[in-house]
Amino acid sequence: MPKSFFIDTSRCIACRGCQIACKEWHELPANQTRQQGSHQNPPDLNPNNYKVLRFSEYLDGDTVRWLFFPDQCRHCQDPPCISVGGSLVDGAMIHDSQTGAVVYTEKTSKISEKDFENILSACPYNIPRRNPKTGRISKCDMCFDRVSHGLVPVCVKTCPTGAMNFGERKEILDMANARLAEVKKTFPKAMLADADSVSVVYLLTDDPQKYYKFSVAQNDSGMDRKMFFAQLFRPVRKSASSVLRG
Amino acid sequence: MQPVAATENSIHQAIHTTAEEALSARPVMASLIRPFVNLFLQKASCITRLDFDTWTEDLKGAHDRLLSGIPILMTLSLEPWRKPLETACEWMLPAIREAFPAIGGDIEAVTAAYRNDNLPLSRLAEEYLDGSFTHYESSAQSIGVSADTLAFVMNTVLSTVLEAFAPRIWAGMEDVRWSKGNCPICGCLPSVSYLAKPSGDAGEFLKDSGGKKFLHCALCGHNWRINRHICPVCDNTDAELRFFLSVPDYPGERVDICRKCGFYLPCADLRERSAMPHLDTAAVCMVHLDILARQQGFKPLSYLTWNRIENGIEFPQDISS
Repeated sequence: MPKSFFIDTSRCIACRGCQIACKEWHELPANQTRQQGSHQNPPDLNPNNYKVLRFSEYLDGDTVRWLFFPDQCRHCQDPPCISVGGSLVDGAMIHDSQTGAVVYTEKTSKISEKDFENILSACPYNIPRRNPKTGRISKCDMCFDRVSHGLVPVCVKTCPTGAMNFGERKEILDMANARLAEVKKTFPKAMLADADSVSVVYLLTDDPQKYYKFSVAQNDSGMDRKMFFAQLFRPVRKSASSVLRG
Repeated sequence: MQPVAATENSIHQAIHTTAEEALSARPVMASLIRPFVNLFLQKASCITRLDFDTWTEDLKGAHDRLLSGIPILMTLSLEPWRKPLETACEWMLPAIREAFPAIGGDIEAVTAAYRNDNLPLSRLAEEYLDGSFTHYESSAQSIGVSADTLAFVMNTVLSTVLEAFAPRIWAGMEDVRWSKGNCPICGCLPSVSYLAKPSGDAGEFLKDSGGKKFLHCALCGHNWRINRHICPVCDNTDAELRFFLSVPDYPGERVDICRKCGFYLPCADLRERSAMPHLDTAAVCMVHLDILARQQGFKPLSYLTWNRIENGIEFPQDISS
């Protein structure tokens, strides 16, 4: 059955436990960074960070508002990245029907830089990153190895406040809607971001643009002319599950 | 955390998922796990069709006895359960015969006796619950089967009815804090324990991280909470005398052992799991841990159909223990 995340930003305290747990589980190396004058570090997603805690602040009258946004792949229900790049290299980009996970394998290193640019531009959330040394494209994989063994993603396991939640899609949507009703009492602008089209549902308490440009989808059509032809001529792919599970 | 009331489909899904996960890790156990999976599937279908309203026993007295430490069904007659027991027979006898063809002849004999009204279901069920087994040898002899087989049949039939009725029986008893090693409803011992998932209840700042320990009744399937630092058999709290064994790479499965009393109980650690497994199936799937504990000289808290590893276990003590 398809799975989903519910990320309740109203409970997030920006501890970055999820970000660190993700790096540890995937054994990703550290990044050399510089102080940017922000709590946000590293400053963006990169091949060594599948998840980054985005931090923004603004002045609301006399009150400073802090907004925390644990950014990661949304594992779209109908992933535009797969529509564009799914047929480029067999087994490189996979949409697992059982969990809903969109997974990039090491075969993505065979995808050209130009094709990667198309994949990135197709993503409504600006997520995939390419390692210039290896050519591998990477992003959150929903901890596919853990989830396929019945475990929750490591970011969810680590979260101490209940901001990160994971489970069957229906249960998660019920949880998200119940929480939204509660949070709206305090934050009337609260909303669920793109809940119908993604597997990672964010509860935002404020205007989405105040969190981050890509907190909600930025190209609604999801398919430009180039993508349409890529979709039209793609060969029949192997079952995603058979590729992922060998 | 008590699992929420489940539908037939969701129970079937949980059974399949639990079994498939175990079989992908230990495919060699397929011949052991598959028959029980089929039995549990049939049981799940049956329990959603049993009509509890045929039983009108007043449980007010049972509530007071429960507060005194007496399980609810210990002092009640099961004669009003005759109809549900018969329904369970109709569903489960063919399933047992199909799952365990080696005892197919015995099951056919039991089925014939049941059809001819020669099987005193209610009395056998009561004797199973109170552990006396007074008429098992004679009833088994009269229909030409072993007492062990008859006990297995009654275990399956009675557990089907109890599992259907347990949530309704427990309703109204939630205020009772029960921390014993045996079930507050039927008095039987657990087949498996589990460390619960996070409940999802979050306080103002931090969420519950799970880990509360529950015991799962081997007969009625009721789950009740018990302190993690106490042996459910002997109440031993000495951490030096309690330990657990597990298999590398599978930290979610372990067997808790008490050196003081020498008993063990498999435990499913659900803290990191995304879904609640089917606990009876999980217990079958952890039989390798039974073997591990037995090899070190420890005894199971409950002798179950799937964990009778040694020869020479005598009836009826092994079933009623």
